[in-house]
Amino acid sequence: MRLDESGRPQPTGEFETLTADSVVLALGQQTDCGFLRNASGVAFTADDLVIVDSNMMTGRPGVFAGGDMAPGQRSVTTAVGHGKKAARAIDAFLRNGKVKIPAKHPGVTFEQLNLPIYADAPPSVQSELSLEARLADGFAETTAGLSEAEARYEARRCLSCGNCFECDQCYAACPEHAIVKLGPGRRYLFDYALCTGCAVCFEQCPCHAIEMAPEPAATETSP
Amino acid sequence: MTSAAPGKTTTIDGNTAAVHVAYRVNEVCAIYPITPSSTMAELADEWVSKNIRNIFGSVPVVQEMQSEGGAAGAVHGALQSGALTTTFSSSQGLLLMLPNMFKIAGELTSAVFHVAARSIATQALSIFGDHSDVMAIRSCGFAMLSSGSVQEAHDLALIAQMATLESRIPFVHFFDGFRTSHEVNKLTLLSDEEIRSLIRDDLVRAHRDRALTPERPFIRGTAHNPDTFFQAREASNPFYARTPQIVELAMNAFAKVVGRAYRLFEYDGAADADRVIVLIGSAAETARETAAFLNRADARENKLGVLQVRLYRPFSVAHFLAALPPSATSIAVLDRAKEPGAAGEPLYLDVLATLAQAFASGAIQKMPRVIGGRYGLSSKDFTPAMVKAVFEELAQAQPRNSFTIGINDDVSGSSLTFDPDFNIEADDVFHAVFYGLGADGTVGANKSTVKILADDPDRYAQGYFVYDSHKSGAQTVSHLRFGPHPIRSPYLISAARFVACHQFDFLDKTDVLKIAAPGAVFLLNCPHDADVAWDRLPRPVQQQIIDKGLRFFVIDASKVARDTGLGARINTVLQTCFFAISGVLPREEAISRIKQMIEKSYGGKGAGIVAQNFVAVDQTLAQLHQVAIPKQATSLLQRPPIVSKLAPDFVQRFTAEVMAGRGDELPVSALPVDGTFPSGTAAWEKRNIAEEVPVWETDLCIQCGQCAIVCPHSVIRARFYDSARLNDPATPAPENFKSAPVNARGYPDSRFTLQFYVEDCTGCGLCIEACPSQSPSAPGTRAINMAPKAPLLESERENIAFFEHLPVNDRALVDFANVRGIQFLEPLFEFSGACGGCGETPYLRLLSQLFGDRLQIANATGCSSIYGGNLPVTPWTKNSQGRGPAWSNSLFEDNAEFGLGFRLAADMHVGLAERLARELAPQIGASLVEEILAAPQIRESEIVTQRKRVAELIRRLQELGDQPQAKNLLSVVDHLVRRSIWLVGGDGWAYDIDYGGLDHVLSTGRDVNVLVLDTEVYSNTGGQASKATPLGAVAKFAAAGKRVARKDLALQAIAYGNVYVAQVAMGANPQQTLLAMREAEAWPGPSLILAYSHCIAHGFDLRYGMAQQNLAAASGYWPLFRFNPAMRKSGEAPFRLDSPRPTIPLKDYAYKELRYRSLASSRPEEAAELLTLAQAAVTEKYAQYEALASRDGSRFQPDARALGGENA
Repeated sequence: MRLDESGRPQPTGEFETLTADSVVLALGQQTDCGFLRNASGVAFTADDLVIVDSNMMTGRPGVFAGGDMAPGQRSVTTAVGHGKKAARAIDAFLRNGKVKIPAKHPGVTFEQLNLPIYADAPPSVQSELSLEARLADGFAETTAGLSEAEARYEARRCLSCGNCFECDQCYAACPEHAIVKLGPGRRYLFDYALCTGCAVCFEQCPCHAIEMAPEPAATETSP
Repeated sequence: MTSAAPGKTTTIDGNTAAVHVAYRVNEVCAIYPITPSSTMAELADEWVSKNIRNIFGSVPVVQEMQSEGGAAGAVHGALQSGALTTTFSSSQGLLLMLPNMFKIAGELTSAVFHVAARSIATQALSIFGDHSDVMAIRSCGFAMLSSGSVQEAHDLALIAQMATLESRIPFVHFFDGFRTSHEVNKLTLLSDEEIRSLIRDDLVRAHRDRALTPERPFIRGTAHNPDTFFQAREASNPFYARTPQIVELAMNAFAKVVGRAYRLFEYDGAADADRVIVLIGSAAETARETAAFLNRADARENKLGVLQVRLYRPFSVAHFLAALPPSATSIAVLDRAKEPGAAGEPLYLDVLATLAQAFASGAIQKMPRVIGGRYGLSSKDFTPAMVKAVFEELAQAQPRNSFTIGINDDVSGSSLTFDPDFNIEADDVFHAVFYGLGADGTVGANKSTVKILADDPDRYAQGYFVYDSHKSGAQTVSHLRFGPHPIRSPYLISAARFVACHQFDFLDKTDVLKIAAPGAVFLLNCPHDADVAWDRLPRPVQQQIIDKGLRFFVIDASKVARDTGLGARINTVLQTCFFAISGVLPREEAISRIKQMIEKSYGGKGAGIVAQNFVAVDQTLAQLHQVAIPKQATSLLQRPPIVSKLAPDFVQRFTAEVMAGRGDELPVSALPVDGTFPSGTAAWEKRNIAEEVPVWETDLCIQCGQCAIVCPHSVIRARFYDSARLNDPATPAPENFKSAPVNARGYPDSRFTLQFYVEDCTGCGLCIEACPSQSPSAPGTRAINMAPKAPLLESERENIAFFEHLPVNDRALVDFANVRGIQFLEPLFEFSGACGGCGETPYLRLLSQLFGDRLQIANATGCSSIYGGNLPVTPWTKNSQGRGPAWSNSLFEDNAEFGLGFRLAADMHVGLAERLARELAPQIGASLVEEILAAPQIRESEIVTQRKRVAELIRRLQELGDQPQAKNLLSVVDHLVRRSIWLVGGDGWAYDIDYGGLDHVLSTGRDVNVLVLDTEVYSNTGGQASKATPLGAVAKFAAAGKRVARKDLALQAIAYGNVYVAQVAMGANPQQTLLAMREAEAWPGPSLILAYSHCIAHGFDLRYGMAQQNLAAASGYWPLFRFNPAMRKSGEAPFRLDSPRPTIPLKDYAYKELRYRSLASSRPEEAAELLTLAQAAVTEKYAQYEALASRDGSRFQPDARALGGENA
């Protein structure tokens, strides 16, 4: 084989014989998109993948595609991501709206957190087979993964950097009662009429989910 | 106030008796509060506000001063300007007056100072009575006239005034603090006409004629040289020489008008007495009654007499010799004072010198044997038994000199033994003792009982009230006597015919029946039904009831009060019981008397209220049950031990005895020799004074720490820990132990527990009000809620024990910067006896949490020195490494200087340690030394690291063995960890008495931190106005409302430019308080924090104390700010206003408090005007601060310390 100008392998028709202990079968696979061929507006790439926009929608409004049939890495991770992204877009499409993707807040570093306490929570370690065991045991699983309890523990090690989880500490700390609780999942409202900018909420937010911003300059019409 | 008709009797205390006269015969009073004399000054101020006139037809001028020194100065000036002038004082206060007293006497100035004599602070402070103070000032040239009873305090106040006007010698008129100043007794009041007739106008005019006036100028107060001073000092001798006779004549004139006769030396007893006791003050009454009893008992054996000294200075040898029976062969002179190292105490020396001179000159033929002894220091009860012991000692062949009586001195062997069961009380006197709680109205009801019964012309009454030193949950014991003759028994009752216990819980802690006479009546306020009451008594109580044959009555007073609409006023119910069953009056008459009293007290409030109280009386009688006494004690309940068996030896041996009420029995050897006591004893006193305590709802709690930071008693503790601890098979968690996951992300295995120390909780409710977390489903339910304690007590004890077994959180793992993190820091100030809901103690607890293990505190006298250092237990404690606040109280008037002294010594020893470390560097490691000397020590992590280095240094130094320099370095090595020095006190200290000292200390630029617990009044002495008292508020000494706005101490300190200054109010913004404390501590110069502290003196329910603080800030009355000189370095404005512009009018804050509201009801128009002015002052002040906040650093005084120089 040889690589063409786009870097893809092309057969040359030549054969060669190699000696091997074991052989792994790795064949190319293709998605059968034939049923979409007649759908008007749906377009395909050169290698038969369905073209989608940033909302995972095909050229035909209302038809969405993702996973192996859409361009991208052919991995489960990518497919799950496509599904999630498409679900949001479908929801917006049905509501006749647009997908609102909140602006990503800048990354939060450990120094920016205001942890109330610094208790140790060491990472879980997945047990691995020793080299000898691996050789002796052929196809046994080499890395054990986490048990459910371990996985839950591992998940709870997350410090929720930059993401509010409604611990109510800002609400409790505000000396001016300027923070209003909006109920579970709805977070808080900052009442700027009461806020003095003292930054107590900001300084104690354990995950740094609050930023201080300059007060907008008073407009001429304001009293 | 009593209107005077001739011969009218009334029932008042000694202070009232004395000031009644002092007020009438003076024109100017310069005052300052000090226990136990404050009442005199308070009444004078109150009478001015009521326009009551003196005998000259004027309303006297009463001026509060900044200290007793100031009061004496003002007195001196007023006297020099011709006004009849007086003052009132005690103890330290009298000592502060001393320099002026020398002047006033040296200038032969007529004046009387009225003194409730009190102990002087030595190894410890004591507010109680003895003669240390008056004996300490005896050389100043004042005449000294002593009263021994309430009637005498009244009469001699006038005789002193008469004599001073005539003699020109100033007088101290003194009586025993508490024993006389606070004893309520029946007396015959001097009418204004009698007083008027005894004060000679010509002498008053002569006094005025000696005053300074530019019309007839002269110079007084010159400075002399060796050539003339001595002679001038002797020039006044004739005035002193004739004073005794003048006093005698005044007494005679008084007797002629009034009918009560007094002598300079009052002798009573056998005319041919061989044994005589000489003494001063109220103890003379006890001695006289005892001598009479013993003489009656055995007239052949006992020829005893008592000589009471009334005029102690000038000491009249002639009068003394004339009064002493010539038959006296053996004399004991008793002093209520101690002069360490002297050949004898003052009165003893005077008597001895008098007799020795008389013998040497031939005036007497035989020199009697004279011994001296000490008694009654700090109101130690002086009883007939002790008098008897002294008489018996006099009968010995070799009586002991310099003895003590009333204690067991097992160290020096000075004490005489006495028989505590000896009793001389007459059968026709009725004795009643009542145990109550400080706030339950028992004392008030008893005072009213005394007055009711003494109203009868043929009945006399006496009341004396003993308080313990706790400001919350204090036990009061009322001692009441009633009888057909004047009661002259100034000592506690030892065998009562009626004992009432108004709090059921006391049975577990106090032996209330020890005092019951056989066959006495015992009244118990009992929450249990009468038929089960017996079974609920501890077994020792049952046994006493049986052994003494007591008649036992119970009533559920709280229930009767509740059911009849009296609310919490159980005192009326219990007073009714007393009248009904004590037998002091026939029952029917007693009930009618109560109803008369009710009509008198409540008549003005309408017939409904009177009827309601009548119903209460009838209900009380219906609910009062006598309990049948079985033949044998059956109870399984034993009194719990006073302290836990785990308590340290000192607590078991000493503290527990004091707590059990057996402190009087402790021998001298049980006491520290120099006033040094171990830290952390409050933790062993489980007071259990709260009926309701907070209960934690784990699911609602957001773990914000707001409850823990406001808790005045440090009873809310938080810890986080590994959840495995809950299931440790070795120490499993109790069944009811509560915990919750940590309310933050990233703590998979951590649990959080909020533990309430319910036995130490006062139930103030501040935490409940601070809790921000409300239940979404049950309105009003928070994450902590009050619930009855009794059902929780047992399981909470187990929970606390388990909680204490959990490790204290590592300080290095806690975020100091936020309120939430603070809850995990161990308080090193805990369970103080401060009032429930105290506004001061949360600041001290916070201080101890932040810097406790390197904290050194100079504490001014005041509330904080009392709840901080009053026996039996003290709240300042230490951590598991044995470190904690080192605390000391010097005085009221010197605390700033005292604390600066800490700093000076620390600076010196830091320098010494650094020099020695450098010198030893080759031996102990240059790099370690360098690291230690260069270490930053601001953040906790830096302190922790430095501690490790210093520990290593100590280890290396110890390896050097006996090398002198190494040992020298070890002696100061503590200082290499930066010490946090705090000067703590109230506004009376900072704004008034030590203002000059504080100002000076701030001006030095030294690194001290000042915390002013600003209650805006003298809280400890009962709420007198200070310069922090706000405009328009009523306080004692400002009965008509304060007319000057609060002094801006903060601005004064800011003016220095290099002083960190913050004004904080925890209830308004705890985070700002926290920030200010940390910034102040970090600032390497002087720091001043003014901390708003709500107080019972403000007159509102302290449960809402923190909310009220918030209103103080919201109204702009108490803006929060920080002036941080360090900000200049970063180019920011150093003055930062932390609270917003006022959002509510001042009235919405102020009128929630009685101190403001009461003026509005008594003087509505003035109050309205004052409020308008106060509002204007607040608005203007806030504007000033706003202007300051806009200034950059260059607009404040520069900090020149960086340039080096004397203080660098």
